[in-house]
Amino acid sequence: MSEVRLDSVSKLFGSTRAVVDVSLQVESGALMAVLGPSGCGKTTLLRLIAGFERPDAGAIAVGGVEMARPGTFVPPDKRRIGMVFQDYALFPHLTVESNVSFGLARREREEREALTRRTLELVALQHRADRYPHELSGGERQRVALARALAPEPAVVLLDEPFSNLDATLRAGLRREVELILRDAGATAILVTHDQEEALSLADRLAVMRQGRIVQTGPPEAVYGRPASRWAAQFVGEVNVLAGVAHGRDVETELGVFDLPAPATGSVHVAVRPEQLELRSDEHGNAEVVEREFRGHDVLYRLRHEGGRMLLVQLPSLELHEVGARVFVRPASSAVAPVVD
Amino acid sequence: MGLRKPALDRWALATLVTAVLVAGPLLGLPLSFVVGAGHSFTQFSGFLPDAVSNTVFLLAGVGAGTLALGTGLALLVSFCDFPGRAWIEWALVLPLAVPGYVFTLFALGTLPAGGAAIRSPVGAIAIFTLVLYPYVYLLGRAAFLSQSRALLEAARGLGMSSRRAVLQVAVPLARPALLGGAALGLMEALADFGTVNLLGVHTFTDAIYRVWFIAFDRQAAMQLAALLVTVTLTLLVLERAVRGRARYHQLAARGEAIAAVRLHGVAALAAAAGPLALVGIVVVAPLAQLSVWAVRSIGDGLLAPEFALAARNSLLLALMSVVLVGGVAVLLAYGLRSSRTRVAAAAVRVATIGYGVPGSVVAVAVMVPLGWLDHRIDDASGALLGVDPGLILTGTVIGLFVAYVVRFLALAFQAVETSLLRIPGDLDEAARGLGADRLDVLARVHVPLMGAGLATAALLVFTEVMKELPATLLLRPLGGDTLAIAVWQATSESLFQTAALPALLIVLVGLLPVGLMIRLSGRRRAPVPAPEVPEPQPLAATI
Repeated sequence: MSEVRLDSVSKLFGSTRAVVDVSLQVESGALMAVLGPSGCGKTTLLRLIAGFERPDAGAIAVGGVEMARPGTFVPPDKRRIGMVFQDYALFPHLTVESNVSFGLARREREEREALTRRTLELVALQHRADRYPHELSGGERQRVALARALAPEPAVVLLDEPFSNLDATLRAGLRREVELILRDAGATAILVTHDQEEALSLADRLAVMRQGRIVQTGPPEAVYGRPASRWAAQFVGEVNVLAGVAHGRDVETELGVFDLPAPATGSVHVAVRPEQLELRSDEHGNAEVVEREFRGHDVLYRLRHEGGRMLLVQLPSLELHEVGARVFVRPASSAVAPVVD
Repeated sequence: MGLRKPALDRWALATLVTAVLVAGPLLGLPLSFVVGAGHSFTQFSGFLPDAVSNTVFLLAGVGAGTLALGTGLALLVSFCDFPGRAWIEWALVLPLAVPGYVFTLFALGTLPAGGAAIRSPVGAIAIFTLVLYPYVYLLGRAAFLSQSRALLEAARGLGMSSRRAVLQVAVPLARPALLGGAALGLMEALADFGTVNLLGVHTFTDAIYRVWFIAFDRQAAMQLAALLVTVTLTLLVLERAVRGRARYHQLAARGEAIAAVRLHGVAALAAAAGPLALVGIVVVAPLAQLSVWAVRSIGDGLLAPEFALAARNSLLLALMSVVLVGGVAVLLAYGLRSSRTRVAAAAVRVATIGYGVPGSVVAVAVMVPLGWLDHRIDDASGALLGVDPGLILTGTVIGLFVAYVVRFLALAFQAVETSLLRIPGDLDEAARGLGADRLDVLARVHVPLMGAGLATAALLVFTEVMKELPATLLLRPLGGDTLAIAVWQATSESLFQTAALPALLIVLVGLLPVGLMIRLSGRRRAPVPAPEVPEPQPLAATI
């Protein structure tokens, strides 16, 4: 059963089309990431689901119950959603415990206490129960925000750029932690982010959003490996777009032959990820190293191909090529390149 | 096409109704130029030139004076550390408890030749500056203390001396607060009747009083009042315009709090002595002199017999006004936050125009519609029930309460709204998402976080009602004399000793809420914890 369902939802602010005809389904227990650049409407989408905005058209259902459609609107406090805000929005006058139990006010006391305790244990903050938000570290604050959202056992947890306020070093660890907490709780979650890496590593499913529309949905590997458009390819990771001629299952380009994930014929453009190329030193090679970005486990090279175009190539950092060196670049073995617009 | 927010929701409607009830009488004043024009000879034009020139001069002087004194003192206690600062910081608030006419009573009674030297507009400016600077001081100090040290350090890093950094970074950042404080002070000065009347300075309020009571020219009084409402409105619009740009204020309120520079030697001595001398002149000396006079008046049997009644009246009026005015202020502030429509915003602006309007104008303005209502009620009751209730609005304390709401709503509203504005909107949304309805949000999030704001509102209303003179003078029911009226009457007859005890009580009662405020505010606010990293990077580069 899908916990969240959007049918042709649109939202305008004045003449700005923030969300345009968006349809989306999130299955129970799934973690969906909505990925898009700033201003693409992803936060508005989240606020529509939460009930902080009213859609101008379309329908929204949460937990199998219709929440919004023209003529019907369930206010946020009746929606069973848990929201984690970008800056956490913890109540500064309440302790960690009171923050977490805020949404349980109408439960029996015993149930309230049990749920609060269990949720605090889930996020490993039992020992901080009596602290106030300003006494916590950023990571702890985020866990309180998550616990507060999870405590009332919502149908869906909505996370609005939950890691953007954190240090880069904290971010990776917390990302894992948050994912584990959400999975432990069996929660259905929608996370909004502009960070490709975050979306790819965290989510079961990805929805890529651009200018108010969802341009592609699918599992992360599919969105990465088979982008639906040149824009999606460029937004989700780095990419080379090459012209070529397709012959059914493969495509011939100036660099060589790539496999096609789906049959095509005629002249096409394909998206080639930097790791789909390989290179070796060759004094008479077809390209020159212009830039080298050493990233530890791998290296990203920027090459100038003899045809004049720039290419990105990513290789393990086992063997290094110097800037200015001639190299020969070609498709890696069984490299796949999807057709894009 | 896009559905805009509805122009009118329940909250907007509530604020609108409040606005009409509160400001309606005032906005009706200009009708006095139309209705009944030419019907009788009016002394309006005879009183006008004097009133305009004196009022404008007074406003300019008091504005400059309070800004200079208040800003200077706020800078001193915020950016410098010196022996006794912790005490002086709060002692500087004490003049809030001394109404202008009480200080005038002290000055007239102690200066040589019956205070001839201060019976002039300049004298009035001096007195107003001394008793009204705390508005600028308090708001300025709060703004300085909420500023981030990082901003000043950035300025220092860019090569500014610490003095220039304060003047070019801290002061401009606090400008909305400083100007807001000055606007409050000016509205007080505009509204004053006692001081200018006792000093013989013919401002608008004094002119209104004289045409109403001495010339019995109702129409001229209403016309003068209408003009004064216009001046107030202008001031209020200016103040709002300044506050509209106050958002950069918020931006500054992050990171570590500013650090004060320790003063040594002569500088430290001067920093402590200056404020102490000021408080000595404005608070301690009057208190001492009034005490002497009061004791003597009791000994000599000079005390007015109605004294106890006046004291009781004052206290009851003030307490009930706190509840009433505070309640309406919360309703308005909350309506504005919840509705966010233009109607609500406009309604709130309209509803809060009463503050700069002198009590006498408010009284004149509410008397007309209330009197009309009274007669309708009386007639209807007589016809339907055969009972003759009399004038239940203008003849009782109800009329006075209406006037107080009109007059002091802005004061309470500002305190409430400021604290409400400080609560980020996503706290509301977080609470709503957790199943709290609007009332829950109010009770469980807003009220606890607004505690200080509510206390401030209560304090200000209480003090103001205790001090209030002209509206009470005009609207009080029979036997409704208050301490303020007793002080004014006795002073105007140069019975300084008779005026002393009620004046002393007004100041002492005024000191209580000031003390309470000092306790509630505690010492400095803990600095706002800095976010782990600054704002997320804009991602424009990725597309």
